[in-house]
This record gives sequence, C-alpha cells and structure tokens, in this order.
Amino acid sequence: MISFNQVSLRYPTGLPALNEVTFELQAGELVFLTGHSGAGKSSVLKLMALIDRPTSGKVSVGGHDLATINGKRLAFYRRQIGVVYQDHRLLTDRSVFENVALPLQIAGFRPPELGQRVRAALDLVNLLEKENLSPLALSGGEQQRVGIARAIVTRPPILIADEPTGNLDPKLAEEIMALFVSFQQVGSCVVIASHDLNLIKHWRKRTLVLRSGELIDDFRPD
Amino acid sequence: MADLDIQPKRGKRDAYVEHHLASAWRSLRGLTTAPLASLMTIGVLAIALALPAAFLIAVSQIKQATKGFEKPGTLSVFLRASADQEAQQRLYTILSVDERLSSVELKSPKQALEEFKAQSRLGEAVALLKDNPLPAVLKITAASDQRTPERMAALAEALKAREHVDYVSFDQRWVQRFAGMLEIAERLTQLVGLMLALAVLLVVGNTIRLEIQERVEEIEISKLLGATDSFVRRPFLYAGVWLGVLGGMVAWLLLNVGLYSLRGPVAELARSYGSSFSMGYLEPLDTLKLLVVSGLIGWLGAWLAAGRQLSKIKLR
Repeated sequence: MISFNQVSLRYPTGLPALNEVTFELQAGELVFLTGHSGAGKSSVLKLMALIDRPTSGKVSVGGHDLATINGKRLAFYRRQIGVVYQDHRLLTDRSVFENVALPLQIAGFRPPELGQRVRAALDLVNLLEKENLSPLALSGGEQQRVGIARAIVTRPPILIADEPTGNLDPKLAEEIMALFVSFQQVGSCVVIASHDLNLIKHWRKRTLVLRSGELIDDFRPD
Repeated sequence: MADLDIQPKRGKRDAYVEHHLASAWRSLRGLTTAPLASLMTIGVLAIALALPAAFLIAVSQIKQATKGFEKPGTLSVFLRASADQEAQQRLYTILSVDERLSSVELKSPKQALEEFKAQSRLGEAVALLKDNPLPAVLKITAASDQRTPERMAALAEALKAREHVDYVSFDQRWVQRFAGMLEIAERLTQLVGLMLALAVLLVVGNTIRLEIQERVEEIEISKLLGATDSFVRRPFLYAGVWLGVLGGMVAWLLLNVGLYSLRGPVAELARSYGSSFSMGYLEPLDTLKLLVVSGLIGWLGAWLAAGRQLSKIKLR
C-alpha cells in the first residue's frame, strides 16, 4: 500500500531530514512511527501526504509513484488520505460541524449524506453534542478529536496521524486508538507518529523507529 | 485493498452547482463582515466605473442631439425655381452616375417644405404661405477620395456650372471640426475608460489579495484535504464579481442621479436653440452592459490576484 524506497529528504537549508529510508506498509496494517523529536517522523508523514517531495528515492502509495502526481491528481490523491495534525489545524471561524464537513464538501458530498456522515464521525469521537460550537470553545483534547473526526469522515483508505493522542487523557487516548484499530480492521492503512512509548507498548503493533532521519528498527510484535 | 482512485473526474453536478451557490453566498456575506471597508471599496469602484460611463453617455447624447447635422463630404445643390420636374430628374440621373459622388438624393420642393416644417416647428407659419418658397435640392455625398477641401471646392464649382443649378452649399468645415472633436472626445473617453477599468482591476485585485492573506490558513487546510485550485479560487472569484457588480450598481445610481440633475438645464438649452432634444436615462440594455462589464472586470481582477497569491502559498 505504501512503499518508501531509499527515500532521502533535505530541508531547503541543506540539513538532512531523512536518509535513505526504506519500508513497506500493507493495506489493513496499523503502524507506529516513533523516535525523538527531530527524528523524521513528521517528514515521513509529509511525504505520504504529498506535502513534501523526496530529494531522492521513490515513494509509492496505492500503486502510484508519488513523483508523477501533480495538479488535479494531487488534489484527488489527498482526498484518499485522512490526516490528523498535531496542531489540529481547525478553522476557527467555522463550527465543529462545518470543520468536519469540509472534506466531504470538497469531495462533492451533499445533504443528507453529508450530515449523516459528519454526525457519525462526531459520535465516534464523542463530540456530537458540540457540533455547533466553535473550535475555540473546545479544550485542546476536544480540538484534537475534531481533527480526528475530520480525518476519518471520508473513510479514507489511508489514515495518518501525527501525535493524535498527545492532548488526550489516557481513557480518551484509549478510545481514539480503538477507533484507529477499527479503521485498520476494515482495511485502511493507519500510520501513527508518536513518541508515547507506553501507548506503543500497550497496543503492540508494528513500529518503525527513526533516529536522526534514519530508520533504525522495524519492530514486528508477532 | 484496491489501488487508490486518484484520477480526476467530473464532480457530482449537484454538488458542483451547490458549491458555486455556497461560494457566491459566502463571499457576498463576507463583504458584510467588514461593511465599512466593503463600502469604501465599492464606492471607489463606483466612481471609477461611473466616470467613463458618464463620458460615454455625454458623447452619445451629443451625437444624438447633432444627428441631423450634415456629415462631412456632403453638398446641397439648390436648383433654380425654373427647373421643372423633368429637369430635376435629368440632373439627378446625370449626377447619379458621376464617379466622384457616392450618393445623390433628390428632394422635391414639396419634400423640402415638409422637412422644414418638421424640423423648424414653424409649421403653422409656413402653412400661411401661398406658395412653396423652397427650391428642389440635390443632397450629394462626395466619394471618399473627393473629400479634401480642394476637391470639394472643385466639385462644388463643377456642380454650380451645371444648368438649373442656383447655389451649392458645401461649407461644412465647422461640422467636420465638430465631428472631429466628437471623435477625439470618444477616443479620450475610451482611453479614460480603459485606464479606469485598469484601476477597478487593481482595486479588486488588491482587495482579493488582502482577503487571501487573511484566509491563508483556510486555503492551506482546504488544499491539504484535497481541494482543487478551482475549488479554492471560487469564493474569491465570486467576491470579485460581487465587488464589480455592486460597484456597477452604485455607478448606475450615480449616473442616473447625474442625468436627472442635468435633464432640466439641457432641455432648456436645447429649447433655446429650437431643438426638442432631451436627455434620457440609462437604457436597460446599457444598464445591463454596465453591470456585466463591471462584474467581468471584478472577476478578472480577482482571477489575476487569486492566481498569483494562491501560487505563493506553500503547504506545511
């Protein structure tokens, strides 16, 4: 489903972000990406979401060489990927409902299906009763959950999340992880960047360990 | 799991139309979030649109008022009272095949009298006359290569030398000058119009640029969620169209107020010259043209600004 082959990435300053990283992820797989701050976790996610492009090497997703995806195809590619951002990236001048509805509107969904899907996603993250509020009226954890609802609302085949449980209490983090697992179980490829070792140990999933831009371990618990 | 479906396809038609409507509505509503700034922008656009439109109207109304004036290259050949109908017709036939002339029209004394009655408003006085004092006239238009002052003079001489011709009038220099001035005024108006259209373009472009700068976060998020460039650009294009159309509507209002205030004095002036000319308001078709042109300029300004600004946004 996702393949990194000798992928390197350098920042415009010339500093290396990733160095010849190679791995493959299958559909229906949930993978943790871990490492210290600056290890390259976010860079891997950005390459998957086509926010960045590799300096060298090849990234393929769903059978497509990402180097060949441009213009309109790039927009359609991004619709297939749900992304949970560490800083939530919510629109503060729109309600929770409107934030979650945005990917559906972009994909051309209309009421009533749009409303049904938005409410189902909000229900999954326990925020249904706050659909009319502004994100500014929510706590950091709630904002994180709105971001998760927005990422899953289109039921994407690939779900990537950057520290999705960072702002959540343990019970809620558990629920959100269970949600990601449920996505994995229906065939989505889920990639979670996290430095929370307790979380990683608890869920016992495949874990890619990065250090200074290099993949130093590919741990498979089974 | 199957490969990702990333081929661009035509969106669902209803959703596409719905997004257009939503974008139009959202951008119109967006103007009301900063009403003072919007009003000021619309005011500037209205003045920039109203000025060339006012000049165009003025030129067009002057043209209309002077439509009866003889055009350059025309001569009036007055025949002697002794020239009977047969003589008039014979002369007309001869001149009709003269290559130096592009058209010849014979007006009988009766036709000339009718025209005089209609144009001079002296119908009742003329009706008191026992006999028709007006001669037959040949209205002649010289061929375009004959319209230099020398050739026109030579042509007039040649016509005057003909039998039955009493007098030839061709001294239309003032009309020529007037027509020339009108043409210059028309060109100047077009030039001013072009420059002010450019000003409208820049004002709209700048407004949209600021709007985009304020909404960079929203644009970034939309693009990350898979929005196409046209999806992102659409609300800004509608904002440009709204600004243009609203500017056009205020310009229309300004123009009609201006026309209303000038209507009385112009009619008075025309009456003093024995003319029944009266200034009209903006015709529905001209109003439509004004709104369409202003909307198009707004759209173009927004399109240029959005294209430039959106390409600068780098996703992170």
